[in-house]
Amino acid sequence: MTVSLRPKTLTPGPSPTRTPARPGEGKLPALRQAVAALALAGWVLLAGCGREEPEGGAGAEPQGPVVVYSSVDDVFARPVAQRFQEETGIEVRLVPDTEETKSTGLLNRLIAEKERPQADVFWSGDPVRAAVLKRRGLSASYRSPAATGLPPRFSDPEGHWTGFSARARVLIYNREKVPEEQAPDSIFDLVEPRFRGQACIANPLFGTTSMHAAALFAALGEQRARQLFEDFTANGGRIVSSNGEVRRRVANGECTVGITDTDDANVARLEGKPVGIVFPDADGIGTLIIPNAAVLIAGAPHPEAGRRFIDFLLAPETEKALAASEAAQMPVRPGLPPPAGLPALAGLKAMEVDYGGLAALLEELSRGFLKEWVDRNSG
Amino acid sequence: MNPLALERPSRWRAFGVAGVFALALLPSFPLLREAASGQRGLGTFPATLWQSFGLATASAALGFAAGLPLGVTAALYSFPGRRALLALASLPLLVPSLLWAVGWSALLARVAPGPLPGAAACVVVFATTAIPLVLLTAWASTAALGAGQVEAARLAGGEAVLVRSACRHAAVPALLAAGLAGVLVLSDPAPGQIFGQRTAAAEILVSFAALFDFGLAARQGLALAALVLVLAAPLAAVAAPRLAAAVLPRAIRPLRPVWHREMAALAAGGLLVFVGIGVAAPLAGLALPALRGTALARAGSEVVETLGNTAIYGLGAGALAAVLGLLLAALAGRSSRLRTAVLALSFLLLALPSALPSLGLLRWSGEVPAALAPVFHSRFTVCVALGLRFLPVATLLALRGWASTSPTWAWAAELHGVSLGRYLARVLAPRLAPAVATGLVLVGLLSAADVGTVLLLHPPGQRSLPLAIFTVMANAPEALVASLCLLYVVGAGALLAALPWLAGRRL
Amino acid sequence: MSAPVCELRAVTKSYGGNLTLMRALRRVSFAVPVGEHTSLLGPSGSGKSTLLRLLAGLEAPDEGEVWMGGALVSAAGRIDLPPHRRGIAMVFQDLALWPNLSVLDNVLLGLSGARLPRIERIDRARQALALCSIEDLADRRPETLSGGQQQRVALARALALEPRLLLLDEPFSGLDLVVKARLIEEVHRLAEERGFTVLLVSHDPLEATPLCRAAVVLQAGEIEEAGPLAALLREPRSELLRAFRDQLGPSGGVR
Repeated sequence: MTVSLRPKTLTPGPSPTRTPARPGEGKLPALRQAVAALALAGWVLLAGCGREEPEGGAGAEPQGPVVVYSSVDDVFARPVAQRFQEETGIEVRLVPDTEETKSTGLLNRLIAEKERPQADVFWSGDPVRAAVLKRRGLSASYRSPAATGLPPRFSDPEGHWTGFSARARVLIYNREKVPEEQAPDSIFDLVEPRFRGQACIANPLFGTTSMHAAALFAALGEQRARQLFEDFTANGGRIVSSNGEVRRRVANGECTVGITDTDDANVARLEGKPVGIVFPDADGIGTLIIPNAAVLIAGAPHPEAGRRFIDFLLAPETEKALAASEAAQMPVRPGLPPPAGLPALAGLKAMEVDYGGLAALLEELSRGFLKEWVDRNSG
Repeated sequence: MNPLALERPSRWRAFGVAGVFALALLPSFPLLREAASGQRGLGTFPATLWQSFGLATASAALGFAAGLPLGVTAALYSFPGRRALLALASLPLLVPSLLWAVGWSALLARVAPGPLPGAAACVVVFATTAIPLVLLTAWASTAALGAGQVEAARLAGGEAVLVRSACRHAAVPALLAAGLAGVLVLSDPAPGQIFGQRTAAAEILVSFAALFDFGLAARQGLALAALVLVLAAPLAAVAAPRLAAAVLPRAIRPLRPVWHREMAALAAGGLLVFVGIGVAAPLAGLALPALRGTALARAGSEVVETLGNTAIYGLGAGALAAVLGLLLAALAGRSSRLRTAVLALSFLLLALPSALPSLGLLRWSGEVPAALAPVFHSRFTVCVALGLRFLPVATLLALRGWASTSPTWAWAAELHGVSLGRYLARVLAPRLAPAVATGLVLVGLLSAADVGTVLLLHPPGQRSLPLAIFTVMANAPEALVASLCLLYVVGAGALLAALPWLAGRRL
Repeated sequence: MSAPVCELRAVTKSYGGNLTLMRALRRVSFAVPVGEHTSLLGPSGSGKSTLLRLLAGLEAPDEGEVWMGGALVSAAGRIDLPPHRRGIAMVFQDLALWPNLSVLDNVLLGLSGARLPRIERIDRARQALALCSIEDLADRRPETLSGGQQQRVALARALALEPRLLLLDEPFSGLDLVVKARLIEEVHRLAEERGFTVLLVSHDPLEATPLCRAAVVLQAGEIEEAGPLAALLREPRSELLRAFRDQLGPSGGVR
């Protein structure tokens, strides 16, 4: 049995027992609210005004701020920006990016801002995004004097983006589960029976994995590349959300092998996880090298400061710093020391890639085979 | 203008409602314009949409089934620690679902033998945000019952009858809240990505992030919104007249929760189960890495640097949404049809992917004269985008608040020659204040927790705390990420716990 | 002979759109002479409250005219004299006491349209409270009062305006017999003292008989009968009064 509790309008209730107003009931909440409001207002004023103040540089005159959109991990980009500020006195306003798989990111912001850019420089973690910008007319050509020594094959021939400090796509394996003799040394090993159900890669629609997929299609040709992907899933290989997730799973043994970037692998190593790193296909197609790319934005609000920042980025000191940091990025300039635990770039067999051309191929794949492949293999 | 104008039916009300929603859709306009161009249709989107709809319905159903009894019993019965448990149970509202997904993923990796099916994991994470929304709505709805009615039901058939009747009373608002939660689920890509489940939101994300095809993404967003509208319209039509019944009778005593051993045990137990499974478990998954050494100092400095902006974005968005929501409620007035329209359009607004208005505003900045561009590049714009996104939440609360006022007050004011201003200030404002304030706070919390919109719109250098967390998440040491997440969650929890104290009411 | 305190001439009022047109009042005409307390009787839905709102100037009639004290105040589709200048006060069916305000503040806010200096307003308010014997409740909130006390507050707020015509919309429903009788008696006394006319709307003729000399019976938006209440009761034509008389019967209603 239920009783209807619909409140009846316009009929008086029974005479309630008198509940006299508690003394002072109305006053105390108002006081609390006032205190809270004042505290909040004070905090907002104090904290909201706070900003990274540029430290005086040695003899440099502060100019306008430089706005840098960075899709490089914030943890690595910030120290570089900090050093630039200290050395030149120019304030750096860094705009970070989330992982592509998490939300619509910076590149879309740049594209939408085309008519009125807010960014001066785009610091990309890979050249494909820089090429996308170039295709859409968002970049300006700038050949920095600091670029001496950087191999031209890692840069745009027309100067719209310049490559430096690279990562590489590597195989990682769990040392506790995979003895060294059985460690993979080629991406084709991932489709071997001994790794049945044990391999994982990140979603090839996003990030460096997408670039790797496009590079494979370019290097192997469409048929072989498709076959590789199909064999991968036929062998029980798994798609996970990100490179960081690949690292986590291999580190804790959920998967025993995976493909990820050198900076992810390095983080696992630094945390003391039992992870081994292999630069694949040294006697085959080679290892994909993914340089950072510095792009000057067309129509930038502070182009002079932007150029100075790019000069700073491309300087050997920055390459050295990025190599020494947790980013463990390999300098592309010959002769500079590699990061601890990683080989020098010169010693690697690098995959032959036309970085500029990858962008168009990637778009086609993302609408076609890759999308379809991912859809087939997710829930 | 006199008080009667607030109550008089008029053609202008419909225009006003349309105007407010047109304003809310204005930011998305540039991208919607692109949706019309472009030859590629929708691709595989309809199939994914259907699948996502299934997930959303399952999550909403779970949210309703669990949230309704939990909210009703929490309002009826008192037990020690009730306030703390309610605050903990509301935590998921403040925290992006991404955190829960990551936490679950980490926990399951350590605990479970094999991977969980993606769909089930997604539903669990989604339900974690649906349940609190339904719970709070059911609780508020039950608390609005008068003590007299509750006692009458109790006398009629004991606690079982009372709880059943209260559930029936709170069912419609709870259903609306479950619907809102379902829509929020549809637009959330993160859990699907993490658990490898195809979702409509992820498809839209691909259109943006992999294809940079704004037109395609806008078309997909519109398809999503259209589906939501089709499903939400009947729900709104059912719910709108029910909102009118919130008018209070002549004499009402406020409900006070009572102590009843068995029922209190049930209520407390239910809340504990939800808090344990839905909140504590994923939190443990998040916190585990932090056990091996925290990076609290570094995390702390990030918090201090971004707290001001986070507060500004939250408060600004909350204030804007509260004001607009109140305006919508006043415009809809006593008309059931207008209220239905407002509710249905609110669902539509919530369903549009948040990237559409954000990127649209950036496009606008390029189309307005140079002098106006700084406005579109300011923190104010972030507040506008967030406030418009979560406007439906404030509107729902404002509608209930408006329904708790009586038209006869305006008639009496008119008769006595009370000016409109005085009527608003002395009669309506104190009455509407709780609903408006709650709307401001809820929208503020949801906005402060937002990542997507802030990422796209924040002026360079003015990050918010959630954005800081998510941009370091990718490759920061696990300890740093865990510390940041913990700090965020603890801060949010403290804020929630302080709310009732601030409001000065006994809950 | 002075003009009637209020008069309706062929007033029609409808609600609803094209599909659901509902006629609340159909060519209703009657006049209330000064000092002649009148009751407006009829079953629910007969248009009584609509009529009161038209008299008060809260709505305009679709056709017809409303006159007060010999002046035209409302005509078809327009309101010429706003409510607060008509010299009326009204007690609503749900009392319409403003929440969050104390009893005294309710009466004070009700005087805000009177354009008096603050001190005079407070004086008048306290006087009104004294008239209704509720001075000691001045600082209480209406939600904490009993039904009868709330009634008195509404009455005090109305009387503070010193009206010529007092409209009462089902004011006594839900009150117990003793409280009701006392209130009716007080309204009668106050009307004599302060010199205002009462128009009482009710669905129960028993409330009207102690207070009103005249009656108008409405049925489905039209006047079924009107005239001195005593005469109507002797020979009722309307169903309502016939039922009332039959219920009373020769033994005064006791079985």
